[in-house]
Amino acid sequence: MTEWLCPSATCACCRLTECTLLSSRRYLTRTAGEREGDVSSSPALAAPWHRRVPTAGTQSRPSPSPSPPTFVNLPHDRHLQPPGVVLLGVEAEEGPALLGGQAEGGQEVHVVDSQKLHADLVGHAGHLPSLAHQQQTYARFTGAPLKVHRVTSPWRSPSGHLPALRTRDEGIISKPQQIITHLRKQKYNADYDLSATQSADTLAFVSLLEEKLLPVLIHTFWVDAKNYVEHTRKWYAETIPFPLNFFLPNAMHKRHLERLQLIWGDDYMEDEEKLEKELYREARECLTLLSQRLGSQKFFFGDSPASLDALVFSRLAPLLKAKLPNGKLQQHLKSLQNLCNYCTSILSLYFPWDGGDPLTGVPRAAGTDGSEAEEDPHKRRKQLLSVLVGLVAMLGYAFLSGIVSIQRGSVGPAGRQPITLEEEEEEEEE
Amino acid sequence: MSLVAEAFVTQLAAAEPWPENAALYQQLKEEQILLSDNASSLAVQAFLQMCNLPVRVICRANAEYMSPSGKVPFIHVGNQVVSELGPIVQFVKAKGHSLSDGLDEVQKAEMKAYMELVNNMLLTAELYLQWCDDVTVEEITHPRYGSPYPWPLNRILSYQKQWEVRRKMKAIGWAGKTLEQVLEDVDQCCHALSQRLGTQPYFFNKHPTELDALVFGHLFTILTTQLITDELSEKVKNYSNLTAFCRRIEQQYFEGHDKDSSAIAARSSKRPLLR
Repeated sequence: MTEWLCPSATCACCRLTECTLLSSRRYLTRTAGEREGDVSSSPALAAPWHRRVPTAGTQSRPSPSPSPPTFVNLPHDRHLQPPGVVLLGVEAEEGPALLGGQAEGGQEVHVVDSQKLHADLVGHAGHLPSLAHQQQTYARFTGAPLKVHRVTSPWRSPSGHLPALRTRDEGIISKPQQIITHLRKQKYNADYDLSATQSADTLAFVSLLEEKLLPVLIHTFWVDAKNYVEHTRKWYAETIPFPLNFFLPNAMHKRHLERLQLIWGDDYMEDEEKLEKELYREARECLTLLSQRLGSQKFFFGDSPASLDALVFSRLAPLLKAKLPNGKLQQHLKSLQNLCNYCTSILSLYFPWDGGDPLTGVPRAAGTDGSEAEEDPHKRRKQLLSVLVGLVAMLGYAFLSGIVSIQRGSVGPAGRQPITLEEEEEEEEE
Repeated sequence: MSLVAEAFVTQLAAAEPWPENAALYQQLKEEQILLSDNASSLAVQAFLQMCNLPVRVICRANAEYMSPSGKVPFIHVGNQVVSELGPIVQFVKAKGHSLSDGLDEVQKAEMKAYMELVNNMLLTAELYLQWCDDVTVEEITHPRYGSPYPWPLNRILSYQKQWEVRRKMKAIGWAGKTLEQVLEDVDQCCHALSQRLGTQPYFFNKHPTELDALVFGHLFTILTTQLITDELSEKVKNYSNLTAFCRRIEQQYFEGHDKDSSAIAARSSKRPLLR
């Protein structure tokens, strides 16, 4: 396997661990082949921020250590997808500079026009903790230079909805499917290598997932009373800033409930047992079918990931990692060993730094001022707010209980009783 | 139904052989039935034909209300009533007839996935076309849907159903789509089916399965139903192996069955069978 060094100054994986992102040569050749005019015999011309490091060539950067990427193991009580979205990727302006700087290496490198895709992916754990994940995962599979902004409220998103992709040319794209279509148009296509039958299979399995599994997942996370109260709502309330955390989770809960009611009809919603039995059984069957289709392969279509893998991973990973009190579906998933291994291997390969605490880990690692600045105003604002509230409360109590009173425009402190008395006497005299 | 009761019923179902007087209920063929319901009904008929199980087709104006799940078609076998293709397949399997026994696990997974694809894309596109496209709604759907009932009941029922379907479309995200996008999705779906079928006679080579029945039901109905425009059927006609597939199944399972020949006749016009 060719080892690739990620040269990006802002890439979290390099910052953290000096790691190398291992990718197969075939994958890189494929993404290289997609760019018109950039095709050359050397597979080094792949995604703009992945460069080949020739083992025997001269390099302007220190050669990478051949050790496998080090990453923190996901502790099991961590939520997989942080409720914000991680900022990562390369600013378009930096890309060419970096590439240009390293052009002295033995390889001839075309400066790929990454200006085209100055894209910011903005999202948080929107409807399910995985929606942003799918686009992110897809972007990571294809090596698209995407800068991901972590925001914790939809008001900060450019389009008002999450996830949202802000591109240089085409404005803001908000629908999840359109985001992937846009990436494809920009020649970041993870399905390039698939045969016609495999593409057809992709469409079919996507439909299967969306019909059978997704509604039940929504039910598990958002509608099932125990799970919602003890896990989902608490998680969102903790991370969404004041004052949104009071009503946003509830609003999302209502929206999901309504959606499920429309999809399933009223008699399923009312009859818990029937729902449990039939729909969960179908969801379990769907998981089993996925497991059978995957078999012992690394990805669904051979050795390199495709868009189906992005989707399956984004759906299964939260289910696998979340700590749900009512976790029948989760247990079934855990019993399917190959799917569990599949999820953890994708995690370790493509999301190596998400192991730590997402909120504190990423600002350190990403190193962009943008995300740090985003964290600080929150903290400062919260501190300010709490001090203000405390002050107002104290003053209000002081006034109301008469410890402090305003007389003739002067505020007397609590201890100066004689002066107050004198003033009162003066009043009485007058 | 509790688990025990259902097991009991399944046992009962398995115990009895398929009766001669099994009946399939759908709406009135000539005046009332709509594109999506016709497709579903034809799929079930094709499936039962493939299993060699005789069934009579009975048309009733209130079939939708008789059905236990609110969807047509439903079959009345012995003293059991089962609706929709999925549960019917399972019911028939409990009686000992199955088309997909010879498939291995991976193929079964693919079959289920493709059936979901057809349901997700083709059926939803049909529903969209007949309930969300204003021209079609005004000229075809409203007159047909309420035709057995007197005014004003016919209008009320049509509007009620339309409102329900539109809400569902919004819930699954199809309300924002334009007709072109929907036709694009149909094209994608047909492309996928065509790729999967390739040059084989059936989707899983030698023998038909429920997937073949379902695909036949939908594609045949699309091809032989006259709507406002021919765009939908043109999309399907682009794929010659799919039209050949429909013709083949029609010839093999439907021709020569007089009682079923009317099920194949075009819905809103007496169009000849597939050319």
